Amino acid sequence: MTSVVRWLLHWLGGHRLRVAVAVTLAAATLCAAIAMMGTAGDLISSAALQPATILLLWVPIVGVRFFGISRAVARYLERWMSHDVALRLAARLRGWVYRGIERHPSWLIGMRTSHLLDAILSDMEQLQDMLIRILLPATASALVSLGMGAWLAQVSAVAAFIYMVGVVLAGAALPMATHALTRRAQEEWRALREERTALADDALRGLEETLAYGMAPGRRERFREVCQRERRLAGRLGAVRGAAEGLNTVISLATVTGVLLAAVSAHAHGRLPGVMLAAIALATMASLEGWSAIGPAFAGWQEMYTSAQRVMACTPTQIDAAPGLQAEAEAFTGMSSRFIPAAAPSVETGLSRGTEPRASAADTTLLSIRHLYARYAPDEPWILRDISLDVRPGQKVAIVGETGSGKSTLLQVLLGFLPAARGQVRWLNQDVREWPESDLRTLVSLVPQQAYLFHHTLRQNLRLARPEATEEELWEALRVAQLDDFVRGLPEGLDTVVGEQGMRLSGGQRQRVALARVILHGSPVILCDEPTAGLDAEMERAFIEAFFAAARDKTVLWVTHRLTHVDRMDWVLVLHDGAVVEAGRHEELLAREERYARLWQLHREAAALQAAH
Amino acid sequence: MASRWPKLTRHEQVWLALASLGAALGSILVLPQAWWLTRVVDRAFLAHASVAQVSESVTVLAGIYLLRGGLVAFARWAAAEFAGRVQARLRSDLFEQLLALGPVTVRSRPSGEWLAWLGDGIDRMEAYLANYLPQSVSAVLTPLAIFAFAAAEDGWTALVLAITVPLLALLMVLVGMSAQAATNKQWQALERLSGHFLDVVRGLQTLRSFGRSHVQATTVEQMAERYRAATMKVLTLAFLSSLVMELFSMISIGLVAVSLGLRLVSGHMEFARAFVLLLLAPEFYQPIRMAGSQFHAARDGVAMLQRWEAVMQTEPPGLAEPSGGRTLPPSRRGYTIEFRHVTAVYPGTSTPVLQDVCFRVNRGQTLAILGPSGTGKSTLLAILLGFLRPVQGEVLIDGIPLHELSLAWWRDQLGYLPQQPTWFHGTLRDNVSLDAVALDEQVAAALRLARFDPALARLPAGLDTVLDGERIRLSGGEQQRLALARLILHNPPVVLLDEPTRALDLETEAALEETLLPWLRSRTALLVVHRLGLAMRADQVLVLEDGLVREIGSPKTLLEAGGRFASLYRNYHGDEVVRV
Repeated sequence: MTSVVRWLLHWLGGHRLRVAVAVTLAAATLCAAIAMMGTAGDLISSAALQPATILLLWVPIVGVRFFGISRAVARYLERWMSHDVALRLAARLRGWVYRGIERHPSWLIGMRTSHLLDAILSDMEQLQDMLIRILLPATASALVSLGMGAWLAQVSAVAAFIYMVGVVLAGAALPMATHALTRRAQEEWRALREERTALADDALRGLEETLAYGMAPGRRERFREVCQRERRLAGRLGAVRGAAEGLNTVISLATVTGVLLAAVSAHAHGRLPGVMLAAIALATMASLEGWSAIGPAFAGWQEMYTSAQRVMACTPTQIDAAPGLQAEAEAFTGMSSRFIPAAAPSVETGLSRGTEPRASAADTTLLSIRHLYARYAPDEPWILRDISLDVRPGQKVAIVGETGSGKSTLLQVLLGFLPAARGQVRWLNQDVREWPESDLRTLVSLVPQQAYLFHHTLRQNLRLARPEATEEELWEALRVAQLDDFVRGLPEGLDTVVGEQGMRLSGGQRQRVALARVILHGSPVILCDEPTAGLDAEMERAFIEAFFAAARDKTVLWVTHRLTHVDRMDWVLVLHDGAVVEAGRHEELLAREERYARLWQLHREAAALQAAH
Repeated sequence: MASRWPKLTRHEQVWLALASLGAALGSILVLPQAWWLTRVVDRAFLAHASVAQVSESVTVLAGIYLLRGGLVAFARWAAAEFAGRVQARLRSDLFEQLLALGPVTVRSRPSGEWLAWLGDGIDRMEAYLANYLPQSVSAVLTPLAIFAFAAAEDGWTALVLAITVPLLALLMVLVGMSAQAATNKQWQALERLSGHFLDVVRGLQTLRSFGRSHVQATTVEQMAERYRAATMKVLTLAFLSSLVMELFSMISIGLVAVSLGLRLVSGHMEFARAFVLLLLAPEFYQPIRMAGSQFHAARDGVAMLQRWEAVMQTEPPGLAEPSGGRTLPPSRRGYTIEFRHVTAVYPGTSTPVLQDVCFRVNRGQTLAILGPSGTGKSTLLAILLGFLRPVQGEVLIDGIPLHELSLAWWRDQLGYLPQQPTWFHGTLRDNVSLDAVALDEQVAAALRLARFDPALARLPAGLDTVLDGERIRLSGGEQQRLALARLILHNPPVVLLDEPTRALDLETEAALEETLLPWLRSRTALLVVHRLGLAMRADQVLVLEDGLVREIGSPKTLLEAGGRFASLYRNYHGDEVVRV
């Protein structure tokens, strides 16, 4: 409880003044209402006594007008201010949720991203409600009720006592009872909502499988059932909320009557002028108005609270502190936020980008891997074991091995996405963890196995790799990726929206967009994770020709399980079960007649077999 | 067409009626309440009555309070029931409609938007359903009742009330006119935010690899800010409208009070009557003002309702379940599939993806589909899956048009391996069995046949390993084999494979082909391939180019004919054999 409050206070810290103003305005609204009703009661009672001249009534008449207008204006300003605070807070938190994930993507592991979407939508709404419907009005109402109680005490101690009992009932007992009664139902509801989100997410993400594997009827049934259970809970919560509202009406009316009776008794004993009776009754009623919405709102308290906790868990300070991420966090923050200008070598240094003669550049080691071990979690088996490799600028290195041999994991380590558990990975003689993220991304880029395309235009999807790219550069990249004819044939060309995850394009086209991105990015080092997996032989060949022509001066690490083109690479690394089993030039490896030679043989036989048909 | 009122079922109508009635009665009780309260004050103030003397009136008042409280509670509960029912129905109908629309429509919008509608969007209808609709009755009835009472008691008061209502209504309409437009803008900002947010979070790895992920933070913040600004605009309008109405009703109450006061002073009116009218005057405006502010809060619900209706009215681009759809006698070897002059166009585009496609696959045969990427190979499978309906031509299954068959039955006969299989958050077993009941041995056997067992041995908890569906830690080849295991476990008579050996190394591919081929031979299969390994062993090969059938025939005849397939073959051959 306290941690959430502390967290909320921390985030509200920036809006301290606005919060104070909102509370003050809320209190002012209530005060104006009390004053208006009180004056009105006084006015009508005085009028009933038929004063000698109407002029005596002018003061209360003006008072009623004044307080009435003040109340309306104060209420307007209060609502505006409290919503403004809540919305500003929500907007800031939404941004921070993304920043947190961006800083620690591994925090997402095992998590549904759709639940994260829930966190920035539904949970954020709940958090706003917590602020607007409970915290701010309760603070204001408590202040005003205390003042009102003090005023009543001057009139009659009994009236003040009755009033305070009413306030405690409406402001504390009722909310607590409502909370206690609905807590379980709210928790159940939250669980149901999560299940509903999960069902919707699965059905949308895996729509093809859901339909093709006959899962649809079952899923439909389950979704309907969850909705029905949700409906029953909503009814139950509605009943409690309604009871709370009804009870609140009874409490406040009973309090007004009680206070009135006490006042009547005081009047009967001559301690209170008669004109005050109506004033007291009306003012009491007005002062209790603030509590009327708070009690029933507690039928949602548990949910608001849990939502606040969830949003809290998604914000950076909390992610930073999450257990298990500490060690890794160091590895990542070193890259993303801490800039180390002193040690960071410039990307251009020692790299041939076509300007320097290759011989001089060849002396520098671009990439050096020493006894690298890596795995995804401390309790999991090693994915990479004792890998060592040196790459000089401009070299083309093939990394071959069967699926699951750790090829893709190696690329993850080289990109700094996965920290090395043991050993070292150095780019330009600088540990990968010490590279400022932006510099490393300028140095190295990746063509992934499955390209992710954003629901944007083709142009935006490409520009992502280089925002300042000119139209010619875009087309040049498309040409290398063998995609220019296709894009030219599209009615909207580069402005075609590719659809959710690029679904408007075929698999091969998506893959080539990813390639075009990397070409456009123009980094001196390109890592390729089976870039031709979705291409047919003809296109693969055309692509490889174009790619290596464009990458003549670049360093390429080409992960593949197909041996096409491998014979033209400078160096071949054979991985098996996470370890390097062979390394050398194509001819050398063939001469050794071991694993690589066998793979090559198979590669040839596969085609020969077909030739025999 | 924008409707402001949802179509309701009979049950929902009853709940709405109950909620409205409860709210109206509870609100009308303000009349006797004011009456008895006045009696207490009047007696005590003017007649100097003691507490005991007013106890009778106090008892009546207590009774009214309890009744009012009970009615308020009842109305709330009924309104919650009503809203809950409508929301549950709208939500599950929307979900069903998304399943009916299929991937072609659903993928044209970011899934973040769909999810925002299904979740938060329908949640936001609460204000509209639980408050606005049930209370609209009492917003009319209560002022009418108070007006009738005032008319009977005092003509001047009734006159003031009668004159001010149309003016108030006019003010409400003036402010309310721009409310829906502002709310729609707010919704667009919300949809953009949710669509974009989910997209960038899912594509975070890609963004990071280009060093662009931190730039997106600014974009997300901008979108959040834009949503905040749009929301604030909506709220400002709503608050402004309450302010205007409050000031206006205050002036009206003031008029009533002044006229009452003047007559009180001059002795033309007794205190009790003036007091009760003064108590009732705010209650006269209260429901109208409430309706005004709820009108604004309800715009969210109306916006969602309009979206819901638009989706529900969308024509599915694929097949719908026909009433009384036919089924065919079960056949383990599948069915004869025939395409007759099939032309297909994706909705919203004009160029056909497939043109005049004709072919026939006999029961138990294998057809390999080849062609450059983007020529409609996958679309061909989408048509058979019922995701897309041809604009021209017919698809016949054992001579019966596909659209006459029961869609559920037909999909039960199919097994489909998509290009990018989706993984669910759940155990490996659940990911293979996909809601079907399967024994562990069956799952294990399927995994073995798909050559997934080496990877399985590496997984810590075997079949019970929980997979992270969105960030699965299996290599491309392993995923492909796991997807094949899904297919094998379901043992369908008709198989549609989209690049089954994609991302496999040659060793695995060769081994897999050995086991997969006999399995395929015992059923009807359509394979989209880009490598020739499987194509060479298919019964027929279909070469597609720009949506047209370029050539079709057995691999042998096509090779001999020396056309497109032969040249592909020469390339393949040349690439992998000749150049050593």
